[in-house]
Amino acid sequence: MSGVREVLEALLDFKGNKIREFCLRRLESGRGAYDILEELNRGLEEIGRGYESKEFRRYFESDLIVSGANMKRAVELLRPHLVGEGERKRRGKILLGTVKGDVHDIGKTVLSILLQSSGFEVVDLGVNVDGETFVKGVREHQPQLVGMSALLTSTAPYMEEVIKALKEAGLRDKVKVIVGGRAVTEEFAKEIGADAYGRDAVEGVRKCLELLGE
Amino acid sequence: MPGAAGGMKVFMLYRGPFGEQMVNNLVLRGLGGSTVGTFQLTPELLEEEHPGEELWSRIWEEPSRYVPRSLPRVRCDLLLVLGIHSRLGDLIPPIAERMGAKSVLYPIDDRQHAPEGRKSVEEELERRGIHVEFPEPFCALEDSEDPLIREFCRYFGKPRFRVVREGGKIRAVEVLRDTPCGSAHAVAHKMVGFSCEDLKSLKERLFQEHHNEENENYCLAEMDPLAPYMQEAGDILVDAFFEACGFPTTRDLILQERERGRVGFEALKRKLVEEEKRCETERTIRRILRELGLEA
Repeated sequence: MSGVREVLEALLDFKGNKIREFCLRRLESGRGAYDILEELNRGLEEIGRGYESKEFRRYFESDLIVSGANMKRAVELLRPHLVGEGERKRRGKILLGTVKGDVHDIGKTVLSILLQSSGFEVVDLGVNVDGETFVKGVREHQPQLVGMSALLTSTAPYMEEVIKALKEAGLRDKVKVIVGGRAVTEEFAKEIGADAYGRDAVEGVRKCLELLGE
Repeated sequence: MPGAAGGMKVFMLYRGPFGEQMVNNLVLRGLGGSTVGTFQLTPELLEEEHPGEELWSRIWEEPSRYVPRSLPRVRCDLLLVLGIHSRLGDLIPPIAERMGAKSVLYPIDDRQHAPEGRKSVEEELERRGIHVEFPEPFCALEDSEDPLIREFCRYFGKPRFRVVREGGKIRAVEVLRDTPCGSAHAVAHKMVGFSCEDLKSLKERLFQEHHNEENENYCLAEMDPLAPYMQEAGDILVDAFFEACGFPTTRDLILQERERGRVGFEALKRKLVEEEKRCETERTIRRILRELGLEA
């Protein structure tokens, strides 16, 4: 079986057995946990491209949901092989949420796990989060970072509303804002006044570290 | 299905995790003795069978030529089409005919499941004397005039529960009719022990468990606000559970509101979807108004 096909089959197995076998096989062959996540991430990108394609939409929303759930399983499985939490300093606090109108949380959950593995304290506000809840969360938890996610193009514009709400509450200068999710692009992030854009969870962690000057 | 559903033979065409979950659940919880075969029908399979051809502009012109060569040669009474790509819909009439199917059940739980030429698929099947239904979403299917689909509905479709309450908690839940995806069984299992005193919390928990990907089975319908099939399926499940508990369903609330003079779709939507959040989508209001013979 070709590598790409193997990755796609593992990601699209709704029972979640193949992803476990895939990760264990890769670990046994000496591959590192971050390498395996990168490989799976390329598979997720392939599915994402197939979902977004205007000419031929090869993948559906159910494929995104199942592949995301399997990515989450993979991260959980590989977590002990990622850098040990106790060995690192606490890096900062981030408030995460999927914006109002959107109930997808798998990408955000994967990011949350990777951030925690990298030493961040994560406050997860959940899905379908409105501007008022983000503002309340910032006041209460005083994070350095706010992360917003949206899978749907119809809900991504709400990120701008959240940024406006933070400005109106006088909190915009107190936090750095990072946005991500399938519906978001780097250009969009700039347009709405976000500080950073994460293409995927792995890049999201890197950008969060950069925002903290690390 | 006991007695193999009166000898009914079922064949399932499916695609991807959505279809795979349905096939697994249907076979496990009722159709095991009736299923004569399953087949994963994907665009990739046709591309492999017809390398270098301009497939997608030709299938609709001559669909019988593109019936997969590897499709099992079996006969069936009821053909289920579970989540295949919208561009492959034209293949269903020749496939159904070849299998001798009398009825086709072609649910749509995602815009990508709807056959591109739905009207022509319907006409081609009718021309061959084959009955077809397109429930949207699949778990809205309650009954049918078609005897084969009615037989299917005895076991799967709009969920039905029997709930035992005791001391303000859910003590036992029995699934009388499962959703085709199996989420009704998964939710039933999770609700035992949950408090049923606060209806808002009960509704929220039911809705969350309905699409909780950590469950054995969960709703995989599209959830884009522009096509909220998942949200509607969630409303259907919540109402079925509420009905079994003896709590007011959306239908009851709509009838109450109408008695109070709120008769228009917009007023019902504002109250039940936006203010009280009793429903997740206005599609639910529209469906119930249609069922009551009060078109929205």
